[in-house]
Amino acid sequence: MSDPRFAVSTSPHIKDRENIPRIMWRVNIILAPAAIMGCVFFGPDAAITLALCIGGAVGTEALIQKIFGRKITVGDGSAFLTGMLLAMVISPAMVHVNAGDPVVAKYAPLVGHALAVIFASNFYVPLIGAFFAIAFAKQMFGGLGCNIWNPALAGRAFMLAAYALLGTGVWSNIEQIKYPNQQTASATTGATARAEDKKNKSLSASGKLEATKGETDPRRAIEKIREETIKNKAPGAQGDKLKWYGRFLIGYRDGSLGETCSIWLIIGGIILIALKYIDWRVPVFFIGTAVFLGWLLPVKVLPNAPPVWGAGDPLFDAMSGGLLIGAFFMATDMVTSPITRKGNIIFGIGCGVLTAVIRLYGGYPEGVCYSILLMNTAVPLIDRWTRPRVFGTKLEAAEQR
Amino acid sequence: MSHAVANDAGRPKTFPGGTHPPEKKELSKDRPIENAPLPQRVCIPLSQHIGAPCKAVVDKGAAVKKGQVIGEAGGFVSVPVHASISGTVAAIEKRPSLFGGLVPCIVIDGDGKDEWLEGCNKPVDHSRWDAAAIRRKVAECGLAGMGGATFPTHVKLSPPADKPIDTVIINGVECEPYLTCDYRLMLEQPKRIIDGAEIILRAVDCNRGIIAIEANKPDAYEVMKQHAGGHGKISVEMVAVKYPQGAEKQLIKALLKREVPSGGLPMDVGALVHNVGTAAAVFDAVALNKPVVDRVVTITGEGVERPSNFLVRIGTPLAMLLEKAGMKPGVQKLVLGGPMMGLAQFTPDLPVTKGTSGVLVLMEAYSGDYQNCIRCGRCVQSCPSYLVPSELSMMAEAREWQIAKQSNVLDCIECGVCAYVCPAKRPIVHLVKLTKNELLRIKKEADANKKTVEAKK
Repeated sequence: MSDPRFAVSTSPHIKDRENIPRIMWRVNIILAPAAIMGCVFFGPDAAITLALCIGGAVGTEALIQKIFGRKITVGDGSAFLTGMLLAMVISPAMVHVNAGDPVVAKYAPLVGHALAVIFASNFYVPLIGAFFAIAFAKQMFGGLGCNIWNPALAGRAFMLAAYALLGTGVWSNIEQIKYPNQQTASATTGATARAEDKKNKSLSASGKLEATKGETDPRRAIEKIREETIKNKAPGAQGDKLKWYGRFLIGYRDGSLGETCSIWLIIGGIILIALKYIDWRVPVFFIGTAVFLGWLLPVKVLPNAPPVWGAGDPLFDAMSGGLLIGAFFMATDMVTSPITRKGNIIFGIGCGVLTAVIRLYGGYPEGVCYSILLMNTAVPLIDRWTRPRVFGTKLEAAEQR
Repeated sequence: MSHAVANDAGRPKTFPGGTHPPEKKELSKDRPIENAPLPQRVCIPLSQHIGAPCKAVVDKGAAVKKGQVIGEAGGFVSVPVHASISGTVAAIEKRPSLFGGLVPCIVIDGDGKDEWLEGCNKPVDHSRWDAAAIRRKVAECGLAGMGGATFPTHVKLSPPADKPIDTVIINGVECEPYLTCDYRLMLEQPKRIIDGAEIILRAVDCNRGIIAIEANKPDAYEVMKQHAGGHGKISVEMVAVKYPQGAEKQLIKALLKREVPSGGLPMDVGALVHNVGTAAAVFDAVALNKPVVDRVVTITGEGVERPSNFLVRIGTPLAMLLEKAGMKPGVQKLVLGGPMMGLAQFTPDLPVTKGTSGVLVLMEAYSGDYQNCIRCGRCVQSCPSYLVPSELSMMAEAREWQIAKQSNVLDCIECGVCAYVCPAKRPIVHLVKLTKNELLRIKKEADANKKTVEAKK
């Protein structure tokens, strides 16, 4: 009696053509130019880091799914995205091998030059980071859709904790990078502008910064600190504010692999909003709050003067560190951000507050990574608080649950 | 929620949420209603409506005329069924129903004469009829909601005294893609609809009627407006093109800005909604003493050569319509109703019933594997009942029926918008239906247990 031609399933019988691989691969394509700019500025080290992170992420997912007999889903582009994002928030200097590296010299006669360079490059660090991100922060929860924390950020946090003590030089600050031709005068060559700025402020507050010795007006002191930072981090831009901000806009600055090219991160973010892949509320409230509080909150810069309010640098705050990539591409990750629009506002503000507070008063010069991870933790609660009122019910009923 | 309910300054009114599936109306919207060929044999199910099934009142071998009662109503919330052709009762037996099971049916072999029962299809002066008389006639003629819900019309026309109706909405929205039967009815027979609307207004003692039409039918809007012009009580309004704009509660929200309470009915907010086809049938019943023996059906989809709008006798085999419209090889799905809420069928061996608004033949089945919810939020933004469908789907998968109930799964109207927009292709409506079934089963068991305990006392 049943006609074999006809398939039977519950309504609806038509579906929108948007699907997960389409979304993920489009995000990958939109993000890629920022990664490419990272390779342009930081050289082959960046390309190698990208390859290691992406390969590590995709490989880990395929391996785990195979071992557990699950369907292999690496074609959906989400592991690729995690790998690319992870590469973009770590330093490409991690895999850098200096000319004359003693390790190379030691092993080259034994295994050949190429292999020796690989040994010396600590290539396994991005791989392990990518493995952690996918295995522990995604697959262990049940795969795509089940994780609470952003896998790329969880991987970065893991790497920072696991490899911070791995020695001096490039490892002591995960955001270090050396330009081949950059002339720097600072003794702590390699720190980012944010780190430099924070360090200078702290030195000045204990009266140890040359540039602000004898200064009594804290606002003038801040100007001098900024000049000092520019002198050390971008000597060509001294005295020229436009040039300084311009460098931050196009990305010619110290930083992680993919966080520097502000202009493309903003354009990419706008494209994602236009495609409705991300909710504009998250980046707008995140960046807005972080920049506003970064400008407003008091900072002490002189030993004998009180902390000064409202003396921050909004453009610098917006374009330095990982704020743009974090706000547009990390905090907006669908799985780990709230499911309601009201919730996204709370989430964005929370991330902004934490970022500003960590940046100004915390131990690190950058707070984006931890602020997002902390707000990820609050998402189930935020979702519960911002449940929509059901059609035909009163507001109190929704709040009672 | 986000979308604004529009003002009166020109923008069509709407409700928050919803989505925009491709309309596909162009396949059949320009095909005037044509009479389907008279079937030689009809199969009339004894249950074509919500409520108690009918009881057969004719025996095998009895001669029947068109319009004769062959099944009487099984209670108040029930309507009789009538013979749609004249002939002889060939059998009274169980046949496949569109819900997948079997339903008792009366099969009639036509005698080719197509004769009306004495007294049917003759003009009647109903100008002095009171509300009760109208309701009686509507019940006698077997009217049930033609929009597809098939709720007995006379019950809808019997609101209790403490729930007065101040607005009757005649639903010409037809928001489901592909379907054009209501559209063609409005274009071709506007007077029947408007006269029917007037009778409905009298039946519920109401002075205000609004005919709602979606903005993608501007010509129907003009035609209806012309014909409604003379009647002071009936106005015509355009609503935004969106699915499910024609859903009863959402339409009331859009037009009147009132929300039907959860678990309640439109009469709780003083409103009543009837499909245009039902309004026309009300006119037929009251003014012409014509019971429901036929209806307009859109047969369409990429799987038929000649998408059409037919006037079909109740009980006509689908196979005949499919042949007339030219079903192509390689079709994959046969759906009764629209693509968003219709029922997929495993056999074409089914009759047209009072609720058959459309027969949709699709070349693609769109069903299969789905993934975990990625919490993108599209379902939450589009749900017209303001639920969190992703949560409902996950609770169903985890078999947490009570949590789903607390999350208002019973308020789901099963419109399908969530499953349509979901990028993970999750069968959310299916999971919701499963949850509702399970909750019903649990309730029945609990009631049965309670009865046993009481009996033992």
